Amino acid sequence: MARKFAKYVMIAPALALAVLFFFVPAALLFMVSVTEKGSFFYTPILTTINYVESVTIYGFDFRNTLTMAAGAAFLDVLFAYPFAYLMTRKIRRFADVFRSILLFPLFGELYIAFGLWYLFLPGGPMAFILRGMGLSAFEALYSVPSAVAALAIFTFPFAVLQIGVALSQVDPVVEEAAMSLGAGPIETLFRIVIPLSGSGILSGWLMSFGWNIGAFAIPILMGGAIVGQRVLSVQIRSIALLMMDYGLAAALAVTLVVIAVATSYVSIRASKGALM
Amino acid sequence: MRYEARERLFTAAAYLYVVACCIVMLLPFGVTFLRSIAFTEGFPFVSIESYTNIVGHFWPRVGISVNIGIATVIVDVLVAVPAAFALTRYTWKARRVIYLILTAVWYIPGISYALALILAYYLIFIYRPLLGFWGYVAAYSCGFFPIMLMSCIVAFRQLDPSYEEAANCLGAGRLRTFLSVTLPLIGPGVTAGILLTFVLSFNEFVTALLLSGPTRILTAPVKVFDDIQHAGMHGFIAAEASVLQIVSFAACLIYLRVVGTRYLRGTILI
Repeated sequence: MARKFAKYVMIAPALALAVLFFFVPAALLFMVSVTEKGSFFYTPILTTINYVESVTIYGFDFRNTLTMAAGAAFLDVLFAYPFAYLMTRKIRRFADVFRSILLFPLFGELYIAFGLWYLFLPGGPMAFILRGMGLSAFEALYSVPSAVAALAIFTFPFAVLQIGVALSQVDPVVEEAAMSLGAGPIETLFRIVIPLSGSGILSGWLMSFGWNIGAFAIPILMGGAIVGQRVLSVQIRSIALLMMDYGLAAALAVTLVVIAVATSYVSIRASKGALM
Repeated sequence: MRYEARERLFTAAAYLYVVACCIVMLLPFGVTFLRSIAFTEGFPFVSIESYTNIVGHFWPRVGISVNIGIATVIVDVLVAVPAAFALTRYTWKARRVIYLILTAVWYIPGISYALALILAYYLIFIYRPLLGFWGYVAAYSCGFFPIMLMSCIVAFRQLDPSYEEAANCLGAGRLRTFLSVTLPLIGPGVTAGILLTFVLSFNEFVTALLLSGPTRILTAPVKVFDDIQHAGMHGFIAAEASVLQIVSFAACLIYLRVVGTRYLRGTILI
């Protein structure tokens, strides 16, 4: 009898942790999202206006969030694919050094945004290059391309990981066979390697997309106040904490969750076993 | 000979590309660090003045962040090791569902999770005592629990159950087997989860930003953000950001020296 209960006793704390600090708050978030403004705190007034508004008024911010995240994820895949290929096939010496350098973006987007600040602002190392190009420092820093580049730096390791896992499952023997049958390196790449690691490309893109749509520090520090590049995470915080419109903020947060969950679902389906 | 030369050229190009990517990855930290040691006025171009300036007001914040990180790691280890043991060593009808319930939080954007948590802390009266140090610990131990669980599950899968069976045959009880056979053997695998949980909760920013209002506790990353918003570009902020990254990287380096990359492969390293 005791043995039968043992497994439930062992898993109970974990389930309690997940329910208490994730499922209960998530249910609450949903409940708040269908009430009007801050009314949940007093007498809840049910409404769906928040969801309507989050599409009509904040549709623009949605589009910003999604295009910036998608662009950064595209950049990631573009640069991470050769990187992961070389790391799994060519690089032997210093491989561990390169691996540990990839840990830096994991520490957080805040430091990336901050470092790029110093890089671009007047007096920084890039200032004279920018001046040479005829750009003002603020225009260069607070612009969509630099925010996208920062996001791309932030999620590069995730794309590398997903693509690397897929590539390490492709046997190098297959490539050698293609080469010995007369295919050149380019033909081998496009007809053998890329098709076989396609799942990694997809999951790498989705992975960095999923992280990018939740990014907060980079968008807010690199032009968060500019209308053309406001993103949802920044809006959610200011709507909740500055405008006190908890209903609307919760509705936006729920919508963001739905997008992220859909992305992760496809990503897990595509990745075939990479853990994250 | 021609083939060899081409091969060597290709290898050189490969290293060039990888090093270029790594430089871009290191660029934000490098620039921050250089700014933190730069001395703008006059001859000694390098100074540690920025670092001595932040001792008084910033180190307590780092202390808080380290404490939160350690408390999170302890909670997560205590909860995740038994859970992973139960998931890998017993048969479950609904294993996938349980696994999904336990790891669901990992797929939620930080801002949504943070908003949900502060709403819960405000609105549900039994959560009220959590508006403080333990609120952070609770948020992070739940938020980063999936990564600890994944590491533990990988560790248990790599451990052959026959060791445990042998210990059982030789007369050790279940608890004794677990404590003196299983635990020492999965230890190294669990360390990967410990490292990641510590580094992630040490640097966590969005949840901490939303919680910093009601709890009046500023963790180190939030302090950096606060200073950026109030003071902008100053050497001392660069020093703060550098300190946090150096502490995180030192934790990773010590780990890599002691344990190696083996257990981090596939979770965050290729």
